[in-house]
Amino acid sequence: MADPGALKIDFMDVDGGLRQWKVLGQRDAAPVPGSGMTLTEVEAESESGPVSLVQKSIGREADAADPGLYRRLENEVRVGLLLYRRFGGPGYPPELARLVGYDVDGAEPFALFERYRGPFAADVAGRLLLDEQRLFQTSLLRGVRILEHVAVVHRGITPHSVRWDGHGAQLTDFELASPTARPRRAEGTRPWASAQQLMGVGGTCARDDVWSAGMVIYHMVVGLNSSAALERDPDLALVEPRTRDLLAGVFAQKAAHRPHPVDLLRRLRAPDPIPPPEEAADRKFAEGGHRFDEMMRQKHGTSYRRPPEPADRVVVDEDEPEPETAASPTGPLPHPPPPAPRPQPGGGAGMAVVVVVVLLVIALALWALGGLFG
Amino acid sequence: MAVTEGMEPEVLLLDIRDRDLGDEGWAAVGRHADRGRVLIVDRVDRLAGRGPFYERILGTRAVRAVLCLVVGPADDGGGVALRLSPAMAASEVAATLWAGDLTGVEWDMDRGHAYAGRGDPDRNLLQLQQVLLLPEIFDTVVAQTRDIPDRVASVGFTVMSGHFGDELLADALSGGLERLIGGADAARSHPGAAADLAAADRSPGRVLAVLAGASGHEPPDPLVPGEPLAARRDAALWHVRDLGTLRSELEAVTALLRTGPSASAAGKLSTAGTALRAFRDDAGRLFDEADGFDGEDHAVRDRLRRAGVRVDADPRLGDPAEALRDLVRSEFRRTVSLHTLAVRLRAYAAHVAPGGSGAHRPRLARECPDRLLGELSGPSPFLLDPMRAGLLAAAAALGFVAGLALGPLADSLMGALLRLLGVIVVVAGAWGAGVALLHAKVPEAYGEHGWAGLPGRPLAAHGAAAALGVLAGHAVWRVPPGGDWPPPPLPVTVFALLVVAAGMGFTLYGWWRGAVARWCGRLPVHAADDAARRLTAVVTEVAVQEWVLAKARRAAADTAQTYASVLEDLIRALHLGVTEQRTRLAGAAAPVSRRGAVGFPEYGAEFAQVVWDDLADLAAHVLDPLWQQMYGGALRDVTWRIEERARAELDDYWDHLRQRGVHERPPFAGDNPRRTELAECVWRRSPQVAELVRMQVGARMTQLCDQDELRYLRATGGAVSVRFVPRVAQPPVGAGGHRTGQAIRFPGDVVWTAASQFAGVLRLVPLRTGMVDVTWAKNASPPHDWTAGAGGPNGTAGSAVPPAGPGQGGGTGG
Repeated sequence: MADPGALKIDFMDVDGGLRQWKVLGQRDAAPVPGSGMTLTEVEAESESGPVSLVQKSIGREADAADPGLYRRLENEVRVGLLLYRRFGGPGYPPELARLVGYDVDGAEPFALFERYRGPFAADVAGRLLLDEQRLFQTSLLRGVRILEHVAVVHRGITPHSVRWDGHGAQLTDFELASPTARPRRAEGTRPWASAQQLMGVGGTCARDDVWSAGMVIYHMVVGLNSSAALERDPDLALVEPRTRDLLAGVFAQKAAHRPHPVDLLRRLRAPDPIPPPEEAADRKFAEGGHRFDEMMRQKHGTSYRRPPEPADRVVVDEDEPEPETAASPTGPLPHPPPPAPRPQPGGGAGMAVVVVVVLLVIALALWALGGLFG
Repeated sequence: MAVTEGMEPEVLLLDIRDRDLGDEGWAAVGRHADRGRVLIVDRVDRLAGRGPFYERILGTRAVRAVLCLVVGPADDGGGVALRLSPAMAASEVAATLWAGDLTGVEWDMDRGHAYAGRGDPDRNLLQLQQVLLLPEIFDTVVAQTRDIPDRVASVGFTVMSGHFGDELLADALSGGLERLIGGADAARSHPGAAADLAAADRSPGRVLAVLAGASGHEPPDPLVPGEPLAARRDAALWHVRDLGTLRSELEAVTALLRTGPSASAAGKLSTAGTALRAFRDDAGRLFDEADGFDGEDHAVRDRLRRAGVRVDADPRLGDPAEALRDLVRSEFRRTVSLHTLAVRLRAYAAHVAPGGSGAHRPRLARECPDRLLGELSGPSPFLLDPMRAGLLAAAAALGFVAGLALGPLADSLMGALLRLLGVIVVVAGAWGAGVALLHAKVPEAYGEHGWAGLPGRPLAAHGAAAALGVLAGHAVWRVPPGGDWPPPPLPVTVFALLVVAAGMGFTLYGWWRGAVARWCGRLPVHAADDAARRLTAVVTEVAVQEWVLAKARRAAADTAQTYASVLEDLIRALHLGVTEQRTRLAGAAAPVSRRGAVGFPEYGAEFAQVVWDDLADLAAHVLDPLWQQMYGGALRDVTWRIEERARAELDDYWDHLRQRGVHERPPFAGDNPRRTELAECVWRRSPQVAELVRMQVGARMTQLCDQDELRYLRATGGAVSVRFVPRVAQPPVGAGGHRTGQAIRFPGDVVWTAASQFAGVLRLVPLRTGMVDVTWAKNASPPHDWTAGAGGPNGTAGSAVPPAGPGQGGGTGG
């Protein structure tokens, strides 16, 4: 790592405060193919001690070559801030890259992330052992599930936007991310992006990421060595049975036919990283809202009505299923219980014997009586 | 300073023409001057100032001989051609060859004619260097110059090269690589790719087939007898097999006549269904609980043990990683292409990886469906149709015979009627009792129908039919009315009544058997038996494949996957290496040897074959460390280095081909008869070789000097020749030199070289007397610490013999 001397890095942290950290060292990192941005690994002296960062920046030449880079970097910062506000603190999911700060107003704008977990997943495609494959799949799908929970669609999941450190995967590069249920823009490349995303039709949904994550999982098993292999449709016969079961339905042409991330985690027998919603919190939120409305009425009169919340245009994918059906349990139906035992019918054998004896007696009596008559 | 690297030649080449011997140069000498023979390429105008250097070289214990090829026009000042260090001129192990002009001149010494040379200077120098680097020629040249004053001679040569040319070499390399790697077709997987690997009828193949579940042999029972799961299985099988006796039990006469509590047929069915359900559900629960078992999870192991599953694999199975390794190596030796092997390995990895027992749970429901269990729990009703016309007719017929057999009964009408009534009661009662008995024995869900709730009307109908029959039989005795028929004899009556009783029994029994047969035909007895067997097979297969062999299968899958990625790395590295060499070749500004001196293009196919063999050996050599590693992390550490290692080996092989030729075996290659055959074709059967090496020393050949410089040479007498031929051209012992009819005779003084690239003659012509000035160098700089790289700073200033450092103390003396 080159010694940058007395370099300092000025940026705005995720809480909005201005920071200036001393750079202890930096070196170029392997760029993300097709990104156009520069990645630099930075060792900096923060207020709490040395930290390892990744600086993602746009050079002047790169900006001239691709004017959309600014927008993509700002989008990545926006998503990073959203994730920080939802999960900030020690509970931040390691499956997602963590934004540390940014400077999008400078001549060479940049975003600072905590050091990514490892090299590109592409570097180890086809090399993972079975246990590692399971770890990779679980952590990647946990990341997808968490994004789905915060209503963000990554839309750029490829073996180069996923990092792997031998223990887990990490989703990075949120440049193309979009809120859920927004009109799809044509983004991504084959085979990583779904057909709907490539064409830019319908509305974004988590199942776009399910396709991409499934494709990454598939190629992590079969390898990335052949460009011809990337052109072909995935052949699940080439992967081991558990991955085959996991990917069943993931590459359905219709997004609605693809499984939900929770379903995929269930297939892996992995717990859902998102805890069930706490009703108490919603109730308190509603109570607060009511109190706010009451205060506003006292201030503005009884005619006050809470203004409707501004909302972006929502585009639900035409084949999007009902939300509750996505996570419905799909376990086998319980077996019908065996029929309850019926009481055994009565025997009646004794009565039958009596009847037979009576008949015999009658017959003998008649025979004897007939003899008397001659 | 150019120092030959990589191939570790036996002769060290130091090209110091354009370099000052700074510290770097001395250190290089110190590192490399330990191979006994040193070929130094120097310039005439710098020769005099480098006396100390040559003294140090000659004083090094490890150096056994020094050959100096000095290049450049004669130093004409003072009437001498060369100024030489006395160390070089006096040493028994040193020689100096002078090449005044690398273009050379075609000089016929015998006739005294000289013609302008047409050779390429760089190529001439390179070929001469390559020839002198051959240790046999090096030693012979040094020995021959001992008889030459001052050990200085002008060098001339004529050489035939066995080099096939870089273009042909690159083509052969590319072609060999394509054959080694395999075409695009091989890269496409096919359904039998995994089976290809596991189908080999060899020991490792058997192991892999067992792991892949394709061995075709019955696996040992993985369930411990008496333990819960085995008990469930055995109970299900026993109860289901017990259903096979159901029909015979129902048809048994004793069962009809038995009055005590009897086993219920429907109960047996229900019990079998319950046993099947219990076995299926227990197995299903275990499938779920042990899903994803990796062979090592202690909690799951304990759970399986409690259920009675033998978790430990058969130790006689063998190590799957080892088996896979042996199989891949044997396939590699069978020249299966790398692509094909990689595809097969990936397919095998996908096939052999355990899928988890949970994935097999749906199979249990398929093999033993709920519908079947429902049919066993609630079988179809037993139908006993009493109103069949034939049955009623039989009752009437038997009654008729009875009525007939008893005769007139009594003389008076009243008496006959009373007795007839008694007979009717007996016959109809007996028949009705039989029908009622069968009805009472009808199997129902939880036992027999019993005597209660008998069908009244059918019984009455049967009684009526029998009564009518009796009446009809008795009526015979009363027709014509008042007729006086003698009664039948008593024995006849008794016999007829016995026949009637037997007929009743057989008729009713036949009716019962028919009903039993129809009912049993509707029962799912065979389906239950099949379900029990299939269920057992599924549980056995899953227990073996997913639990007992879980660890071995995972190891095999991981190893196969790793080997596949290694082979793909190797393919990539070889591809890149060959592409780079071709690019480098295409971009070479001044190709040194685009074509060989002779070329032998007609042997291109054989040459390509040898190159392919070498590439296969190279790949095996690169992969060799891989086979030494065991499964897991250590294997991974090796795989990362395969690419780098392959590139280095390929570069070395390229250098080997260019410098030493294909005729010489590379370090990584084994003995290859094709290489010998090729060398035979190129060298042993070539008449040009014999003509070349039989040239007289004074014949026309290229002398590396200017025409004007010929005057420095002693044109008459004193010239010596060094003839050299590759050893492969030597006729085999006993062949008498005429084995093939084309074999050739060689002069007795031929030097046989191990390397197979060159054949030819070197001509060493002494310089005239006085043309060499042997003087100590003036203002010689103090010697550098040139042993620093080898042994440390322990040289002595001004010493003609450098002291032996720690690294040289045991060196061989010159």
